[in-house]
Amino acid sequence: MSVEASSSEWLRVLLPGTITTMAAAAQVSQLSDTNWQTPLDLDLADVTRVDMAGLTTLLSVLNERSATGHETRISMPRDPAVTELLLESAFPSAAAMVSRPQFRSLIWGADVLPIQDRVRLLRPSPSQPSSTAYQRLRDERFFGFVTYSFQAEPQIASVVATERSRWRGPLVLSFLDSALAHDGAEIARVVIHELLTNAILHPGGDVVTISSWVTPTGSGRAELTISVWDNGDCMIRALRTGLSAQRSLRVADAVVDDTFAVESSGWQPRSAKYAANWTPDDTSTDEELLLAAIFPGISHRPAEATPHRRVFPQGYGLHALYRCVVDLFGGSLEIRTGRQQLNLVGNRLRRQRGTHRYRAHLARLTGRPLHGNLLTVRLPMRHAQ
Amino acid sequence: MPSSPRGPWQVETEVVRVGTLVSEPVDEKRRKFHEWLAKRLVKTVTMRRAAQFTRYVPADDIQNSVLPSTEILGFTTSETDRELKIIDCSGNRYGDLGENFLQWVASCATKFATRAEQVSVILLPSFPNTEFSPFWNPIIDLPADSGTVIVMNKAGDLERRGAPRQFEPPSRKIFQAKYRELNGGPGQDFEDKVIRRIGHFNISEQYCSHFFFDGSRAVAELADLLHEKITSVAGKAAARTTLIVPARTDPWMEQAVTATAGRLTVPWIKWPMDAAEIPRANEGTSYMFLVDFINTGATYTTVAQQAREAGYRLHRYSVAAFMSRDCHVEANGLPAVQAIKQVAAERVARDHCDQCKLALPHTDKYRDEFAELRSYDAWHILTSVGWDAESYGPPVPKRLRHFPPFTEIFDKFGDCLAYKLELIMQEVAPGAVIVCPEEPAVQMLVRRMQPWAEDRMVAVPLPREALTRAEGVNPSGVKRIAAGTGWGRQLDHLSQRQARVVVLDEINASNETAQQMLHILKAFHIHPRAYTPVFNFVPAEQLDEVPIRALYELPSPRRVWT
Repeated sequence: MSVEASSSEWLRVLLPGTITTMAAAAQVSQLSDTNWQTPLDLDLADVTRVDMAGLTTLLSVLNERSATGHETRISMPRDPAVTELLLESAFPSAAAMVSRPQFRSLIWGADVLPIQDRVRLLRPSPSQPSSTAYQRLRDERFFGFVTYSFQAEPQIASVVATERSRWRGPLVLSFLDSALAHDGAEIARVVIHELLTNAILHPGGDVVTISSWVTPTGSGRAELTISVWDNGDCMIRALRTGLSAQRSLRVADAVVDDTFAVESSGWQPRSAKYAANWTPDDTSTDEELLLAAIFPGISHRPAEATPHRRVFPQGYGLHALYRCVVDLFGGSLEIRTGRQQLNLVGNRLRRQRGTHRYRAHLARLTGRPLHGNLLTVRLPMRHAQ
Repeated sequence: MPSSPRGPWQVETEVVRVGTLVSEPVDEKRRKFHEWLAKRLVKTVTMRRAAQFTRYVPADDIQNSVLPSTEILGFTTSETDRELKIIDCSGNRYGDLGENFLQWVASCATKFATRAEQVSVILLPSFPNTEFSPFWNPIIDLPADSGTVIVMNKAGDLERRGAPRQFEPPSRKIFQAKYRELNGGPGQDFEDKVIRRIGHFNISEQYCSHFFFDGSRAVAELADLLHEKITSVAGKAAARTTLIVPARTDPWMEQAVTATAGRLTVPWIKWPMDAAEIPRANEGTSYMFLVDFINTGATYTTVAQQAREAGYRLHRYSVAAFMSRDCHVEANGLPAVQAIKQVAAERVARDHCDQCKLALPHTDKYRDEFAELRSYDAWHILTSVGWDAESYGPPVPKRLRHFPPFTEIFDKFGDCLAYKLELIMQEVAPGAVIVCPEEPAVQMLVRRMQPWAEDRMVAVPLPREALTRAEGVNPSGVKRIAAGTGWGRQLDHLSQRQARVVVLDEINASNETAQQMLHILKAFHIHPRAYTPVFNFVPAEQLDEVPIRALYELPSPRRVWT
């Protein structure tokens, strides 16, 4: 058992050696309500491999716990390479940001974060005369966690504008153009834009974290991971609310032939294959709602008339996102929210002109639901940096 | 009575802008371009309705993934006419056009192409990706008995869907030239974003300069131009080239070089300050120097000579971002320099530098946080032009007999003045809309600022005649004067959106114009964040509760002279 009371005060949760979306929060999600109420020590001591999305699930735990006044402590890994990665990616700052109201309740395990590293966290290292765009971006701390908190409309708009302009800087474009299979400018225009506009639309949210990292995948290859997490309502719940109000979730037609072969785990789909023009109804399961959330023309928001004009929600954002990620860049999309997880990849079979086929692995998990919504894209790179 | 189906094509146009806060007038050049394009595509045309004002989708709506109904396009249709609609989105950067917006544009276009004699033309900077963009969904499946949708990009490429219709596409070359004239290209964008800053710059041990060419806002454009230049001068050999920059290179140049090297997949190195640290040359590699600014040519000559002596195989050409017009280095037998932009450097030997004699401190190239003009610069600007009688602005009896020609001033110093005004605007109201008199000089200044704000900055020019008429009139009277005018419509939008506003003018001689502008804004319940005249002859902290932030202040000559 990896959960133990290390002292009378802190309940130690020893996290597994590899931190992924599934693994990291799984341990925490299995805590009983009584254990959840006690101060928790999320112990990274054994961690040897991390994934940005996995670390982000820890941020969601911190945010959820701090909102209800529960204390959380993080103990740093023994592996110096992992510690270095946490520092370089600004994970500690992100942890402090998402725990904002309860800042003092976030404690770093003693003696594991040398003071000079804390200083380094506050001030990025000066730019070295590095010769590659990738190295320079690392020097400038481009990758890693960036957290925004927002309360009002202008702040929301500025989150999207800031990140989009960050991702279309000349160095970033040069790096993306040389590393990815296609035009790097599409990352800012489609991937970053759609990930963030999706995140800020979830009701009840006030924090959004974006992270990016280049991770080796073995045999000299690597992938670029971009994760966006928000602490708004679970996107499945938003769709369910629309259905409860007797509203159709389809706001526009889906004039596309995209089909999704579903592999399920922990639930039973009604069909092995779903088409993008399928519209869920109140008999649909949460897993089906999650899948439909990415279909074109599906939205939880109705059209509305303001005093000055009539506006219509557009339901093509996540559709454009998965197509861009999978079809253009050959990558994958992962969505983790509530007790559901969706992993979407392209179907290897040759597709006919005009039809797009995907494989969707949809899992129903047990334990505490994940707080907020976490979307992760993974893009294969042409070569390791 | 509707015209016969064989009559001329009835043309209507709309210009759509994304991310701006308010609509803007569409200029005559763009309307002419639309007419030219329509004629090329369908031969005989009548302009039924040409766009007068842009339709805009504000940034908030884009972030919230909501769009207006297609009714915001003021197109009309009939049962019988031959109709051609142009939806011009070319004034936007492609990176700002999200997929939801593109899908919306496509569905607008198909809505007006439902029968054989209807054609919709969409102008975009680039074609949306055919692999994944929902833009193509409504267009690709247009039935053969529908109308025709034509999509064109900045290169003049043309995609046609729907009813098969014989077209003779316009000449790509002419189309490209017209498109660039309206929307700019990398060369023009670079020019627009370079700032010739004014101050006291220490350029070498022997020389000072009153100006410094700052490329920090044009890194992306510079990277594009360097890439273009290197591939044009080195051809296929570009792939086997290592790029070199001198040790003291401005950070913006290093960034542009890194980006260019990344795109060319070639390495770049920094040439050491100390000749003892020069690395050994690689055999089989050719080297090319990239320099931020060649002024006297001394640094360039030194490093290029060092490289040659150390056995480096140098390329026939070096590339400089900026090069002084009076500098000639070819005579030394070193690689010839290809400059992206040739400039008048106006350097002065330290012994003859007036600013040194006055003991004025040197300006920090990288951290010039002093937004206002120094007296030295203000008077340099004012005395470098010939003064004449005031030719526009206040009524004739109130005009000054000697007045600086602001059109000439902004032509010469507009980039630097705009840079300083923008520093102030960033401080008092980032992303604000500018309200100014409808006069040539100040509008020139606004145009200088627009490229830096990613073309999202909008100005509301108030005509002089309206300023005078509205004086002393109550708010409903002001609204009556504004009714049906472009500026009235713009102010209405700003008022509804509670947008941030800054009032700008070239000179404040007596507070009169400023008060007239504030009076009109008040009628629309708009309270500006600041009033920013370039020169202020009535120094004060605020005017009618609006803070004043001028670039240079001195007491009013008008009061003395009249």
